[in-house]
Amino acid sequence: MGFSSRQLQTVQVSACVSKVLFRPVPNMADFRDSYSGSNFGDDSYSNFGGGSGGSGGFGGRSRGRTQRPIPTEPPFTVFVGNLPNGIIQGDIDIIFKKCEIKNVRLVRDRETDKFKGFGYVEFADRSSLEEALTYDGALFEDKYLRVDVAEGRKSDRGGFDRGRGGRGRGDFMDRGGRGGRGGGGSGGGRDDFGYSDRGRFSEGRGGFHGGDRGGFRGGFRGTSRGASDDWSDRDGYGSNRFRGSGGTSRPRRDSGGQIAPDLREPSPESAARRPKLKLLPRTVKDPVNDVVHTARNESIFGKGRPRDEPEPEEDAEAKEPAAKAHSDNGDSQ
Amino acid sequence: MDDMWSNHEPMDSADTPTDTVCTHPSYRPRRKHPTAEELAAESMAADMEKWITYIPGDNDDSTSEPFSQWLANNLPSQLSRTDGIGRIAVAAPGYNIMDDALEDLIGAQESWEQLKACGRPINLRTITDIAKVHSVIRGKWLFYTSTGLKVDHLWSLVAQGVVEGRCGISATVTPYNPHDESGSHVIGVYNNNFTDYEQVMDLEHAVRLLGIKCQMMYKPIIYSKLGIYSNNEWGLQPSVYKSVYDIVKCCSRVMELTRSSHMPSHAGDQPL
Repeated sequence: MGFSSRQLQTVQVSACVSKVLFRPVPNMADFRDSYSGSNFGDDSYSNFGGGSGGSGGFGGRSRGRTQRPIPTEPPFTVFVGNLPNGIIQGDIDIIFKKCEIKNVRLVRDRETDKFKGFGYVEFADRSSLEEALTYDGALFEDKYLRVDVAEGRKSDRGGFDRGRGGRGRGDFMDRGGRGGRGGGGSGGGRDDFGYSDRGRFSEGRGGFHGGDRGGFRGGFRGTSRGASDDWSDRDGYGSNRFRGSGGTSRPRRDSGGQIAPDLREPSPESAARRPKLKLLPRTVKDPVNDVVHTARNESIFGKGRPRDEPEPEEDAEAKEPAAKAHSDNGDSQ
Repeated sequence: MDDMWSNHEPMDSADTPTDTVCTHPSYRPRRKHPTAEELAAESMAADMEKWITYIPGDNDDSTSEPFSQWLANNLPSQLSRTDGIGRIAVAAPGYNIMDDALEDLIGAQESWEQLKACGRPINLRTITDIAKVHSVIRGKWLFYTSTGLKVDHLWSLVAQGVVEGRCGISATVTPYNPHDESGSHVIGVYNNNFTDYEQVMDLEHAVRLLGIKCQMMYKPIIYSKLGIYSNNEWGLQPSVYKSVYDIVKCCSRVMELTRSSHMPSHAGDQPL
């Protein structure tokens, strides 16, 4: 399912980009204003994104009179938490048997593949979504389910607004994928829907996800700053932090500076305690590359050689020593 | 009409047992638990504020607003405590305002003061005595839910059920309160007599039939009327039953939280 849903995401993402390109670019100063605006409490960042009307924010952290719009158009997605271990998709169907389920994603740890106890369920219509909400607090096996409207659409929009520079689709999509995985540090790759587990359920962080945002931001920066892949990986995090901390419009610096706790540099003591990486002398005599090269050439072209093989004479002469030097290097490493 | 309803007891918006789960952990307040006095004060204040009510047959005379429209216009997440709204309430058909007038609240409070002064034990039994003597015997199943679509939907289910006579004699919900960090609402569904075990369990069943699946607590209103909230100095447990709903077995489990000779003991036989 991971694959197909990732594809799905890609489709959604690219569809959005085209929209974004023609959307007026919100002034960053406006964002700041909305943050400090007295009508918004500390939850105002959920409306971040050029007044695109943040949905979600249902529940606790909402403040001020602004009511969160209710999802009136797809996707109608809920977060389902506190699920017992060993649950399978069929169990979700059992839980929400009265609802028309469109898609289920159970979130697993990216590295250990261990189920993280929550997931996202998308329903076909709003009435199913409402019905699903009644399961909040119900007993399933030995746990009390938690069900709430998933946040995500609004932050996607926020991303779109600011991802205006998302030119170069290939680059953009590539980054999106990486961003998603990078964000996985906090939530295990929410690449299907891009709904934020971390944002919603850590206190006061605001619902923003690493996955999509990492992607968008990566793309955005890619155009303006030539961000490296490493950076875009971190962006998944950075944007979380950035958002949660009240959000200025200078994402990069801030996000880079405030690395999430689990990504922080180790303290000198703990670094000293770590075993050092010891590199043993290479045991393979011949350069690996050469073997592969030969095998590949043989298998594909038989005895044939690449067309650019015949080089100018000096190169041909230098070839033998060069190969030797290469293998020497290999031994000495 | 608000006056008629002013007799209603406060909703205990923060009177949460620690294990009540109907809100998400992130919604769960990071507050220090309010004292019983604070809860009582807040509740009393809300009680004296404006009530938005719908009584079948009653509203037809005044506003002739259809119930569905009334409901849509008065969603709990859209009404704010800061606008001076204390409660949103609906009543079942045939709701008799006079029944409320039979509740001798002043007398109950006087008896309560005497009880505290005379040194007799303060427990469910003695509280129940006061309740019976002064006819303050309504009770309610209550549950907590977070603001937004969730409270609006759950309240709609409850209010619809009550107005159609399928469930309880009345129901209330607290409006959105921007000062409440938890952003939660309390919905309560009432019956006439908390000492009538069958009636209490029937109501529980009726609420479940409406589609409510979260944990619920049953609380006699006498506690609210006497200002007794959780963390009170007498160690009284204002909620007497707790109900959880098992979605696999599609049935409730009701637990008795306070044992007393005055409360029916049937609940103890329920699976835990």
